[in-house]
Amino acid sequence: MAHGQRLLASLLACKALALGATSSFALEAALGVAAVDEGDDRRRPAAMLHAGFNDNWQSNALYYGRVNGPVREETYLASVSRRWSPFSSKNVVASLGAAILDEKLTIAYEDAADAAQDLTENNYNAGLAFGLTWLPFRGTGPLYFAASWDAHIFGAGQGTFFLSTGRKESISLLLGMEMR
Amino acid sequence: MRNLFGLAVGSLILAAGAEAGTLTIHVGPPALGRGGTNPVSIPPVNPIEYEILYATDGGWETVIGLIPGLFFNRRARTSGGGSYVSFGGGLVIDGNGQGPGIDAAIGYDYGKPIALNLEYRQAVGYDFGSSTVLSPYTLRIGASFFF
Repeated sequence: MAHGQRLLASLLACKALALGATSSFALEAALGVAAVDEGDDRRRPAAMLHAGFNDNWQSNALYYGRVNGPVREETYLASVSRRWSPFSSKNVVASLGAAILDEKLTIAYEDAADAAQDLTENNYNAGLAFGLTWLPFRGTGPLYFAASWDAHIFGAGQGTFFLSTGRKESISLLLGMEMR
Repeated sequence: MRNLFGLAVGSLILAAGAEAGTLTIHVGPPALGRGGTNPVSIPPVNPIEYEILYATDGGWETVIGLIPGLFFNRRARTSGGGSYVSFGGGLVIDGNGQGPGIDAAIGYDYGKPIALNLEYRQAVGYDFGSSTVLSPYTLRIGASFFF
């Protein structure tokens, strides 16, 4: 029994060391600006938040919107992705993960007489996130800079079976800090 | 445009003869820059829904499609897996124009020597004539032939 426990402990220790070797501790946080395309070849300015964990995981959040009279349109987009370096350069990183979207519409009239027409609507969707990121200073810290090209792909209801999709694409520049 | 396609197809045939690799035939609706993608046509007879890929075992990829365009890419496969990522550049084409640009894709081959393939591809280009940034994309399904 004792031999078995020691063997198991040794195997677990080896596994932990192996994991440590391939995924070093790192934290990164960054803010940025993005240009978002919703499928119509027009770019909308957006704010972006980025967090990275242990080289292998990242999370992005995008926010953009506009106000037109009583109508306020806002889009919240968040993703969590696994990332890796597919090419020979460690400065180019690919990511694949899950994305969630909230397209919020608020109609609020100034006149109290029109208050009955006020409306708040949230349209949620879940999809996939894929991106390529260029990190020119990766691993040199504490500066974190990235140029990222990300897609958030959402199925179009039952049309998904016939490959019908919608997409939010962002091209972003991020600046922040990295800790190792 | 016809000459360009002829040149691209010729290059593909030459490349296919030169090195072992993977030939993939895709079908799926493209996003033309006028919203998302429509469902694939039934039967799929629209030429804009088709795309041909040739990837060498050395990690190079040629893409020929009406949309998102013509590309020459670097392709990286996951070790031992069927998934791959590719990145490169070429001629981007969508419903609002055409111009030089870059493309990226992620895909998966299931099976061998003939595989079921699913791929997402996106491109960004610039049409100098209309000063438009082009952003077509595709989610396509197809068959890959390893030889």
